[in-house]
Amino acid sequence: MGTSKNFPLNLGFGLGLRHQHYDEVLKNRPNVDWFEIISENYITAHSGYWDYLYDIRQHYPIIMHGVCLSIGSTSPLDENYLTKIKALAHHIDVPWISDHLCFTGVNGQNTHDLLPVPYTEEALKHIIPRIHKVQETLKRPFALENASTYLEFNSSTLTEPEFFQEICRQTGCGILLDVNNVYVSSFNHGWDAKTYIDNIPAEFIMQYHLAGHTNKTSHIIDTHNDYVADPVWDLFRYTLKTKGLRSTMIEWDEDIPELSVLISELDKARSCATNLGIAA
Amino acid sequence: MTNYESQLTIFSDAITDSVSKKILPLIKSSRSEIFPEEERLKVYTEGYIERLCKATKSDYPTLEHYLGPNQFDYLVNQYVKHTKSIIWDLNLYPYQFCEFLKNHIDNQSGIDLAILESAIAEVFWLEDSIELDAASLSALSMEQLSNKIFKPRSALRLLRLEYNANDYIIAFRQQQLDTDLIKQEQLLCIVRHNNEVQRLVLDKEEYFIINNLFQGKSFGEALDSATERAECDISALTHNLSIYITRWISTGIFQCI
Repeated sequence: MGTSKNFPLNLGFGLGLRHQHYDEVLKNRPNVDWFEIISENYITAHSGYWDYLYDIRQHYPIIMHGVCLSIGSTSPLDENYLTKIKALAHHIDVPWISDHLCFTGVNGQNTHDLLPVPYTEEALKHIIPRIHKVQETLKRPFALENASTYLEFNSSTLTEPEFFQEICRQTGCGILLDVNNVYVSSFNHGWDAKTYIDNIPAEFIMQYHLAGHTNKTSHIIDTHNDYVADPVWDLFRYTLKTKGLRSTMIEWDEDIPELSVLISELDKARSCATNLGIAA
Repeated sequence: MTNYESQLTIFSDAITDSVSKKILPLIKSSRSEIFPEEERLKVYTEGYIERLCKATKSDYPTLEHYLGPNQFDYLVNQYVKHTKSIIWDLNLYPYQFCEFLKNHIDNQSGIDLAILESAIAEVFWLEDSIELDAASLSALSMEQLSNKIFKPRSALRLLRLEYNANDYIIAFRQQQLDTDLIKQEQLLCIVRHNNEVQRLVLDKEEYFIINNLFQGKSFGEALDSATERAECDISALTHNLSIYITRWISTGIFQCI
């Protein structure tokens, strides 16, 4: 079992911060070790939102997680967007920033989705310098998440874990390992989820995500609108056993329930670690 | 174009244009018996349309009620079909919907409602700016005030509508669903102040002055220009001027420069 010596410390068990829960978080200070925000919900928002974040930051560490960087795109990196990300990161002093290994559009168009790229040497040559540029701009530890995918390119010559390994090795960027996404993509493509986990070097893992999904029988959609499914809990336990504990959070972005529901999901994640004797 | 760029372009175009011919041969056909390539692509194409429709609909709840769900959904779908998203910020995507409506419905009342709802959403997301405070105004002599240029807050829209769209929105939010839009001019200043979007109903004279100010005229020029308008009631303007100024400062419509 490896450790990620070059990455920030394990922050414990966190939740996605959603505006429905701001007041309750500030008033009751729930037993949550840290919060993760969707960067884009705040970088252009008015100062009232920034004030909320600042207040919450006085009590909890906050991590910024983005969905619009489009690191794989062939369109130029949006410097204005990066500047805004950097400004917010400074305002709430985040220990690290993450986004996804994907592209969201090309040629000036945006699909607002996390689209997979072909896993090829050519793709690596394109993406790696872009990651360097992001790291130089943000000047904070940076991680990329494995997105859930519904198609693969015939042209891919590397597996997704191999592609990640190469990126991490050449850039020093971390992996935000979304265990639900590993399960979803494995189901959709017929991969073995445990083999996927086996092929992700522990030293590159900076954080874990857990979330709910929707099973359509023939395939699974990553919907973030439900409890974490049992097979994902199983895979999470396997991941903890083989890779060790990292900062772990529950994502729930649609049909958002009461905070107490999210906290009980988080307690379940805590128990997975405790029962394996690897509590933080 | 590199092979990589070409594959990304084909994939992206397949989503935004719902054209599958070029992308299908590029998709790996694992588990094709239960999850074929066409279905895989559909997750992305349907998700794209759903996402843009949802973003657009969320900015126009009153218009949806006014037009009815069938016509509204049809128009939103047409808008999404004809309008590509060109920026990462999905919040900005619905702003052009009211422009689109101008060419697709013969119904000024609905267009006015869309203009107002669009302005409310836009003002919510526009950049912050610092408001002009009363103290900096009270220090001015009459001559200095007359020569002063007032700049609007960044998060502000000035509207002149043919229909009483603001009254309609108020009624809708109060669940008074039997109200109708009537042809009655409404002059509005939509401004975000203290992190809240306010809808200020302006009278004619007030609107003329603000409009002149926002065109870059000095306060003196703005007043002169307003009084030259045939529709302007000069006695009302003279009587209310100090009330206007007090209100403009308290509602934060001017920017500190």
